[in-house]
Amino acid sequence: MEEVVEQDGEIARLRTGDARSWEALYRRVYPSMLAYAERRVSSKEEAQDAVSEAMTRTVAGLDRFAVAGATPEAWLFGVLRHVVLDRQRRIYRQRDLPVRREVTTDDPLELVVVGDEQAAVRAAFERLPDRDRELLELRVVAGLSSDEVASILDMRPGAVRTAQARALDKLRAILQRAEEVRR
Amino acid sequence: MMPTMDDDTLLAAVAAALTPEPAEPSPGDIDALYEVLEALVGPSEDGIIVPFIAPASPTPAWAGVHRLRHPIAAVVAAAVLATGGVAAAGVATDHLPGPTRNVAYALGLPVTSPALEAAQGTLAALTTALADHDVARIQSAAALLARQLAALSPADLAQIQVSAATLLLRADPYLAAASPGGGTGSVASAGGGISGTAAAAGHDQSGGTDLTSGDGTGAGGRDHSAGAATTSPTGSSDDGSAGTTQSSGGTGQGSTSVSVTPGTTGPGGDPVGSSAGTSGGDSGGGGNGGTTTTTTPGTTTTTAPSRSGDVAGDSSEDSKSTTSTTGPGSTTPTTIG
Repeated sequence: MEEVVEQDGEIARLRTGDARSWEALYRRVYPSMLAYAERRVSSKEEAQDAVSEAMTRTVAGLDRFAVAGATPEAWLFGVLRHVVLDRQRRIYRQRDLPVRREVTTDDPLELVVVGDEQAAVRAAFERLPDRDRELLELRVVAGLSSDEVASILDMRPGAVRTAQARALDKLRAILQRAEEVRR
Repeated sequence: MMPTMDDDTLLAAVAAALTPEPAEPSPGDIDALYEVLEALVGPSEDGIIVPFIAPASPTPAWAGVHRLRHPIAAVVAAAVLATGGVAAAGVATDHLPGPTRNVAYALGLPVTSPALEAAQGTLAALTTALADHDVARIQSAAALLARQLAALSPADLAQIQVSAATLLLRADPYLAAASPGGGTGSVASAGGGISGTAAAAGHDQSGGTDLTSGDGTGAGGRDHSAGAATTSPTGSSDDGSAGTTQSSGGTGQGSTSVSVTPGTTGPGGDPVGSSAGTSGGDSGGGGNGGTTTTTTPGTTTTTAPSRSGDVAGDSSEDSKSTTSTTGPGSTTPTTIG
């Protein structure tokens, strides 16, 4: 309850264009936004640019944000997603560098050599289809609710929950296969 | 072990694995944020909230339709649509009744503007009155025409300026005869800074056909002020009985000498008037402060504040002209603007 009140207060301040509140929000969400962007563009610098652009666009669209009824994080990630997609399309048109860094081989040995559990999860995560990765990332990295993810991905909340369950099943299967190889 | 985790546990494992590294926006990023905010809501001082007026709620797309449920608005809308339909139908022939023309013109349909239509009507009336030698009608039509010309847009004025100037010149003897003492200057010099055919138009229409009859060389195009013309009040100005001021340059009959004080050319303005010692009329204003002063019996003073740039008087500012004819026994100051 207290958290909701505080969030409402923050939204109200953001709506007024309060610079301090915007800066605090920026600092708070920056790491997760950067991580999200980094996994989707070709370099860290470009990811930083994407986050910066997303923030600028969000502030510039303050009036729309004020009426959207979304949490600031959901709004920001929604904008960031569009920015990243724009950049991906640009890169694709230019036939430039690979869009993202990922595990591109199906060789199980690659998973075997992964040392610890977290690394194994990361490696398995990278094997997921783009859509599943994005959904899980928005849920667990950005910390958004199913409803918020649904609005960003233009899905229904129920569909998000179903897609999330399927994505976790896939992830589990990949980890299981890696475990079997390791044995 | 790990593959047997339930969804929540697996989600937590993913979250732990994907935990972003600590990172902060660069000072440049923060500066950019502040710049955007400042551009939007003004500078922020020590975190003081600068009010930002956000819309209370999004405007639905059907809001306009909903408003039409209001009966009066619906009736008005229907009337506008109906009138607009009539206007559209009449556009081809340009034969429209006044109210319909107003609506059609307001809707942007290609019809003659109501003001031009009215001026054309007055032109016709003046033509008839001249043919009938009816002084009273000539007087009223000429005066009305001068007022209407002064209110026309430059585009409209260009369409009738030749015929209007011609008719007004033809009307001038009648006006002079009807108004001993030189009261008729107000008609012919209704516009400030006029040269060429826009004499009575109240606009600084220096371009177009130059009817000045002196030896004005009217270079064509926008500024015809280079020529030297003699403004000649119709009739005798010696006795001041018909001190008619004609900014158009007149027909050279009279003996009134016109000395043109070269106007100061405004910044960027074309040096209209400054090149002419004498010119037809007041030489299009000559940029800022083109002043024509005639000091003979039947003194005529025309001060035509014209804008710098002197773009053929497309502004009503140019139509502010003061003409005073001070012949013996008569003074007729007239200001039209």
